[in-house]
Amino acid sequence: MGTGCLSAVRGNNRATVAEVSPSMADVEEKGERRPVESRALENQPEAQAARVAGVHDVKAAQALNQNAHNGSAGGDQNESIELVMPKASGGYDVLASRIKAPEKPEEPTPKPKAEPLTVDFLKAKAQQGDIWAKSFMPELEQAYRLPQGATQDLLIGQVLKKAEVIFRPEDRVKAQPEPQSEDQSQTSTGTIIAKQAEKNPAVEPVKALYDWAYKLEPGPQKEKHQQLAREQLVALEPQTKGTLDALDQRRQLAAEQEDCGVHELPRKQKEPMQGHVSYPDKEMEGVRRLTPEDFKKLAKAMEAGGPAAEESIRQTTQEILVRTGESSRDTMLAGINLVVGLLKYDRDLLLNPEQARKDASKAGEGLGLLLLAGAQMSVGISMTAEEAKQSGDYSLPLRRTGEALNRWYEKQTPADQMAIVSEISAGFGVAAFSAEGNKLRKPGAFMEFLQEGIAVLPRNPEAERKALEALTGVFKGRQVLKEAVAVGRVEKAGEVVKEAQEKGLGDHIMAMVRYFEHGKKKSVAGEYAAQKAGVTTKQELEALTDAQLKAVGLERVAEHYSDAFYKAYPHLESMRSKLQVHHALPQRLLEKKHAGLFSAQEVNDLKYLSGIPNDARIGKDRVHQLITNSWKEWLESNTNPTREQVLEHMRNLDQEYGRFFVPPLEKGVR
Amino acid sequence: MNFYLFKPDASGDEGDNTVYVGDPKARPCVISHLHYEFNLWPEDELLRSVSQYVGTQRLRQELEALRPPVTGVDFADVEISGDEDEFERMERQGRSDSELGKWYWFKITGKAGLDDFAVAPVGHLVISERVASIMLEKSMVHNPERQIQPWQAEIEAGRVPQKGAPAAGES
Repeated sequence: MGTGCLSAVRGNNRATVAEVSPSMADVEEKGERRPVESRALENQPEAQAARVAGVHDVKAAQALNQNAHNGSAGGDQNESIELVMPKASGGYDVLASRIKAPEKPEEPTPKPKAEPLTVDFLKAKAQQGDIWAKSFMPELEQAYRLPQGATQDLLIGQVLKKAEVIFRPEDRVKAQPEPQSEDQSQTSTGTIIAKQAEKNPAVEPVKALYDWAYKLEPGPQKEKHQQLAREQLVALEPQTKGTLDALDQRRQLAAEQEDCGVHELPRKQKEPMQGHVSYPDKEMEGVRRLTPEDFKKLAKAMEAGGPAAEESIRQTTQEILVRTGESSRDTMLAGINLVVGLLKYDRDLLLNPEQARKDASKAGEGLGLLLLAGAQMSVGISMTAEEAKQSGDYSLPLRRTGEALNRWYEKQTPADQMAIVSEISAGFGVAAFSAEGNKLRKPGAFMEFLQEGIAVLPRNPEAERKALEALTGVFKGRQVLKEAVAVGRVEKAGEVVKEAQEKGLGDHIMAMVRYFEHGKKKSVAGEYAAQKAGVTTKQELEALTDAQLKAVGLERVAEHYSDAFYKAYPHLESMRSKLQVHHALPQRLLEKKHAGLFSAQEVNDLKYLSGIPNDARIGKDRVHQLITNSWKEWLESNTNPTREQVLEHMRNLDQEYGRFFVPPLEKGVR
Repeated sequence: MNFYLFKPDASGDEGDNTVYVGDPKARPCVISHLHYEFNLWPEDELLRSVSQYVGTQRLRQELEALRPPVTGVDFADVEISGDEDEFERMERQGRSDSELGKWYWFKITGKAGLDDFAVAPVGHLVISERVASIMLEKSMVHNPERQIQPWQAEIEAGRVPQKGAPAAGES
């Protein structure tokens, strides 16, 4: 048997690589020769004998085959053809064969099972910042304050039932974390901190700090905060030091390997298609399906502020979802989320500019969608409620956003204004409003221009997509809403005060300068302070020096202690609803009986402020309660303390409870 | 009768509307109108400020039902509110003042080891076994292990320890 032919080895069609590697020309040649060979074989006596052989003869011949297959020659069909590589030591390796693994019936991929909605699920979602889940937290906490038993179970059951409306089984499956091996929790500082935060609520603020720092631009600031988070973690959970050290060692080793020429593969592109704006149908459709009444209810709910707003928004959402039905649930939720996000931005413009700045990019995108969806923004004083009812007013009261946009536009140079208008006009597919240049320079013109432009926009997806690209390009690219925060804040300060007074926005008043009367622990109204100082206007009061105020028994504190705290620790912003800002020096020290011991500025100084997580407990006792108890007992037995005695007791408390503080403290730090 | 040391939580403070008669630092200080301002949401039904005590209507009713009558405490009205800072921001969580329930000023007047209620050092209270039983049975205290402990009478000048002595009215 020559090379170029499949060689039968041990009675099998087994070929060596050398035998099959020659080119296909061999095959063709073989094909041509086969008839000649066949004819030659036909004339052999053995061939004649074989042709006339009986069944017994055939079977006897087959039995001689030691490696028979179940093909025509008998034996196992799967071994009928094999490609082998002879080994130097004898024998061969099978490189390929027709052996196929027996086919198993395909088992259906097990679908992730939707667990029943649980309190833990809601808590996890709330921690991730889900506003719907967060809105259920007060009710849950209230239920858990009750003694264990039927009433508690009933209340928890009611909350979960309500939550079912928002969270469907699929969501719960989607929300289930990917199973992680133990090792994965040790692969980064972030995961180590996150794992500890799951076990110990006091670590949550540390996690917030780390997460916040993680998003910073690389540089010393980022490293500083990340290092701080590590230190805080070790202070709270000393056993993690070993894990963090081990992680450092692994990283160092990896870095050394890198230096030795091990190179990282190119990373997957994180931000696909920069500059392209997807067309979010769901949000757009969701907004379009909201009724004017829905807009009003959502806006009204947001006015409440704080947990009340969340609760109110949750209720309104539930009403909307029940009304619109299960089939459109996702669409409606997308629309509601967009509207709520914009309302929140609008509110933050007034009350929490820092947050507004953070959310500006998202708000810019949302605003473009809202406008395109056909909703309008109430910029000025709009129509009366009755007029709105009759006309089916689809306006969303984003007054501050609208005003801020107008002001931002008015701040631009004429050339920039022209460029902005051209950019948007091009996206809208209409000629630039060049003829109306003067009109566009009037106050408040920008919002009018936008709404007019949108009014004439052809209602087809392609036109809307282009318009959305143009709007997003302006709102996001030029960071309009980010800049609008600063513009709005500076110029609207006077109106802001007026509005706060009119609407009684407690939060907002607190954001202002506060005046304390000597001997009282609470701040007094500006009017009262002015009267006491013998001035008539707020400006005159503000112009007084600290010494002048002191002379009339007043003291000025620049900002509310809560604002000062979160300004200093912006990474804790997301923890606001979980954190109490604690005065290390009790405000009671400002009362008449301790007058002169500490100033209001000292008591409210950042140095003496600490966050205490609401759920920080030692056994059954809240940490905040234990500290308060301690101060009451101490003041009861120290009716005339000195400054140093007070500070020493504060330091003792720092030592005892400082590990629960956010940031953690040790004795002597303050 | 056995007596117990009760450590009431301080979930609030004397508010601005409290009217002191004389020096607020005096002990006992005299108050004609008590304004109790909550700064933490209450977990117990008997609370303190620095020097004053407030209790719930439920506790008052339980105590008034005791026979022989409860001693060492007088009940009076109290003005309650929540402070405008952390209580309003964090503790209230949308709950109204009415959800705090009805509270009364518990004016403690008794002698430790004799009466059902008496003031102990640093603002703790000495309470009788029957009062402690009510608070435990009715779950009026969130952490009885810490807050209610056996009372050890202290020998005071010119006074014999009264621990274990029958309460007033008891045979």
